[in-house]
Amino acid sequence: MPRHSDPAPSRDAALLQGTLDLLILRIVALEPLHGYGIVRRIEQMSGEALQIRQGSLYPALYRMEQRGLLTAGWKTNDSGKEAKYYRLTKAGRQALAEETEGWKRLRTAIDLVLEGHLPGYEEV
Amino acid sequence: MSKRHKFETGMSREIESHLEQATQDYIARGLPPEEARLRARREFGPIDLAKEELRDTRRLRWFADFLRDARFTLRTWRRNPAFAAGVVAVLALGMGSATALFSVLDRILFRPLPYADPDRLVSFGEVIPTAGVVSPLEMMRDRAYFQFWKPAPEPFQSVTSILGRGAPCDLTEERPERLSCARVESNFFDVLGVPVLLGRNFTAEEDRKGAPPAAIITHALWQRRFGGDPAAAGKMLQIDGNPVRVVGVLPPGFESPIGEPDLFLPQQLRPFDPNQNSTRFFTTVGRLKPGVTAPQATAAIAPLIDAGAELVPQFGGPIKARVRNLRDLQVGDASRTAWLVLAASGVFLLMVCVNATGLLLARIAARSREFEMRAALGAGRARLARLAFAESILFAISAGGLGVCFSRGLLEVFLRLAPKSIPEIEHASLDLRVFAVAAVLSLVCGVAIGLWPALSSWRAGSIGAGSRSTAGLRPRARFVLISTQIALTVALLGSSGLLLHSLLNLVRVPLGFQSEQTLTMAITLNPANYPDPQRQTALFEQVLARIQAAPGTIAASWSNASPLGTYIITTGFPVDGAAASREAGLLRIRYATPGYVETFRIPVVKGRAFLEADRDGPPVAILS
Repeated sequence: MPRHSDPAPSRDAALLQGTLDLLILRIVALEPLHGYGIVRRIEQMSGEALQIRQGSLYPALYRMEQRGLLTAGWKTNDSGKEAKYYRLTKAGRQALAEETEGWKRLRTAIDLVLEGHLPGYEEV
Repeated sequence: MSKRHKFETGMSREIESHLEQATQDYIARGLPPEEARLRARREFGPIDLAKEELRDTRRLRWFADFLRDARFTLRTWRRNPAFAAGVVAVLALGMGSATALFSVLDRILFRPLPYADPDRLVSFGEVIPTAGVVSPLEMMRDRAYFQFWKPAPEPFQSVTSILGRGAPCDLTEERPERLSCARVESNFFDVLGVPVLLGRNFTAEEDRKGAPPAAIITHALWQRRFGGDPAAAGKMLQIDGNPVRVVGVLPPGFESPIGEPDLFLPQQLRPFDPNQNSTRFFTTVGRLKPGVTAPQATAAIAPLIDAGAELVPQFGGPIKARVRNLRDLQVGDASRTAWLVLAASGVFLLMVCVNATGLLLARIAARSREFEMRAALGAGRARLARLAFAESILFAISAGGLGVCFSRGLLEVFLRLAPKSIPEIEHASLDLRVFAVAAVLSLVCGVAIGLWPALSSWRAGSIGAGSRSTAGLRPRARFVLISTQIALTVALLGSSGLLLHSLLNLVRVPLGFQSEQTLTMAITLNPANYPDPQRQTALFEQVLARIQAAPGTIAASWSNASPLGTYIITTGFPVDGAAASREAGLLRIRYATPGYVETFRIPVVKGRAFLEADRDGPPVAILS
């Protein structure tokens, strides 16, 4: 299972900045989860296509917690180990709805550009 | 600190738990534990870097939040500029006046004197009872000084002396100028620990009688006369018609412990003639040995002061020893007044802060709905409190800036109005030190006026949506606030009223003469042009005759001093074979021409005033 262990190129990070937040919101909305779980869940749900740089996950989590989108608390998991679980707040749920909407609009717009035609031009 | 500690441990714990879970995962997939751990580590990446990034989110947040709050606050100000301007103006008034006052009083109260190790420098001497009036200065008589103090006994490391505050002297060359010349011992600047900027210090040889005259000039005089010429040391100046060689220039910012001389000359009192009749009074400055306090020094010098008193036993009352630091010598009684004024400006600032707090609270009460709405939308109480706090800090900062500008203007007015007797006032200025104080002041004010509003918005935030309760200004709070304000105002008004009252009393106190419609003037003659009494008298008579001839003059006279002015101190003399001089004590005398009593309209209770005939007749006197 190959993963990036070195810092990702900055271009990727910039691209991911907004999207990573959205993914986290979505994952945590399903059930409260700890950091490692979030990484694994994103990988599983994306069919191993999205690889999260683990070092960049926590800053994102901390920022979102500070913005009041997430709350966190320590809990003992199934195997008896302690872990910090992140949970969506009311504001987080609202943000998830808004950002999902925004993402969909963006995707539609990009799709339109990518798949659309201008009259008089041949398709490349 | 503990919050930060909590953050750090929480972060480490979380990363540790992450690595642990990843390791378990790999073990579950069949990797040997050692390799599983390494793998988890590698995938996580550099831990220190991650931690640093996490810390950044925390640091930046604080500032970013403040900026956001500040921007928001500015928007609300723009919506309600009158309110914002009012609060800023009130605060600026308080801070500006406090800053301006501080810049004046700083020199008197706090700023260290410009000497090396100034805490160990003291003025010491005897306080002489002078015919009922206690002399404000501790003095040393030359005889006692040379006999007992010159070897610098315990607890002193070294001692030096200066003669008086500096006497008027004339620069008699091109662009003549009246200067103040002080006579000091040759080691004066060494004891103060002030190095000359240019040239050299006095030598012991220059302090001997008959040595070629030498002078050390202040930085200001150097700039004025020599235009800051580095070759000034060694040049000649004509002082009272005599050539004097400038041997050194003092650094800028030098302050004499007493008076404000432009020029220092060696005393040239040694070798001291024990048979001389008159007594000179020194101000003596000593450098204490390290670790000696002023009270210890006072106790230590008392026996020698007593021994000195025995040398010239003509004083009417007991002589007391006094040791005090040079700042007290320099500013005298002004420090008590200065503290009073400082305290008053503090009370004024407090009033201003209470006032501003009231305004802010009223505003929070008016905005309580907005705060409830924010709380309902999920804003934390702490967040709301911080918003209120950011507003007050912003108020304080803007008011602080405005206040400094205001204090500049105020300082100009102070300097115009202030009597010359306030020590060091002409040096008062707004410098970095004052700015730092102003900055601290505005932050303290910001916190002070922000605390209550922040707490009150905290309460507003805790009240659920739909609650009709008004946060902010509750009746009791309003009562406390208003009564504080009134109490402070009354206290301030009362104390300034009392001051004014005592000032009025001073003005009304009967002086024993009539000051109305009486003018005084003083002249100092240049010994080069008026070398002998005949010529001096001729001038005085000529001037007096012209004044008496001037229309509107009722009476005119000369004296060496005006009423309430200076006087010559003399030791008592036997009165027609009566008791010994010891009981007469010190007398204060003034010399006057006939007409003095008439000029000041001093009532003569018994006997007669001076007559023209007394000039050449037997000596006469009028007693007080």
